[in-house]
Amino acid sequence: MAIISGEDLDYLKQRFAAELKSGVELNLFTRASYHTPEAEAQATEANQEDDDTGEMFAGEASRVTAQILEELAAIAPDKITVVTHDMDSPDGVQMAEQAGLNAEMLPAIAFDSENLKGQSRYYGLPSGYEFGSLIENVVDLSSGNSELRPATVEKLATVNQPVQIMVFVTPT
Amino acid sequence: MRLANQFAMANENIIAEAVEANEFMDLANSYHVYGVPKIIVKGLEKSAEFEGAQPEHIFLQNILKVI
Repeated sequence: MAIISGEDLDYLKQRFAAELKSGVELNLFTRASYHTPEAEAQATEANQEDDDTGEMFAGEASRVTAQILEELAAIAPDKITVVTHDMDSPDGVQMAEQAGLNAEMLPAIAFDSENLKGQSRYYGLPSGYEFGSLIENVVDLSSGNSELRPATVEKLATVNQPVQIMVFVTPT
Repeated sequence: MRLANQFAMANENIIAEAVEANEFMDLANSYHVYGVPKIIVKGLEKSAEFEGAQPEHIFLQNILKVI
């Protein structure tokens, strides 16, 4: 069943058609073992036994995130590309290291775009309010229009050493 | 999160990371996250933090503070 449907889908189709310009790559870091039918069946069983913990396990979060990203890419296939990296494999781990990602925190999305000079990532399942933030990021990265004030851009240019900004968020 | 991403678009030294606090509770606890958004800004030696959605110039000030 589709996660993005109805009005949301119509809205995104229009918005992407109007605002997306260059390509955006969504690099999803997950584990292949999270995406097997066995893992899914196990999670369903666990949910039925105990569905009031509210805990989102990494496997489930990764499966839903993968689906959300695939559905976004399907809306604008010429602009949005999803590349999945398997952290069960040495290649995936190496990619995560190269991207400077914390390999313990899955799922993770690393954004890539010609309009991104630094690095931008999202750790976790982008649902609820954060789904909206994901869309804004994709649109900003693709359009290259950051909407920052000229004075801000000027002062940002003085940042000559690495600065990590961690934004803790929740879906609600 | 959007502003952090926009800052990262503008400067090669900026790493913008959004972290879903419920899923990574240990990390959130280690930074004493009691409300969201909570923003931690880390430079090489200095760091800053603030809570709530802040306007662009306040966000920027906190970045400039750590360099």
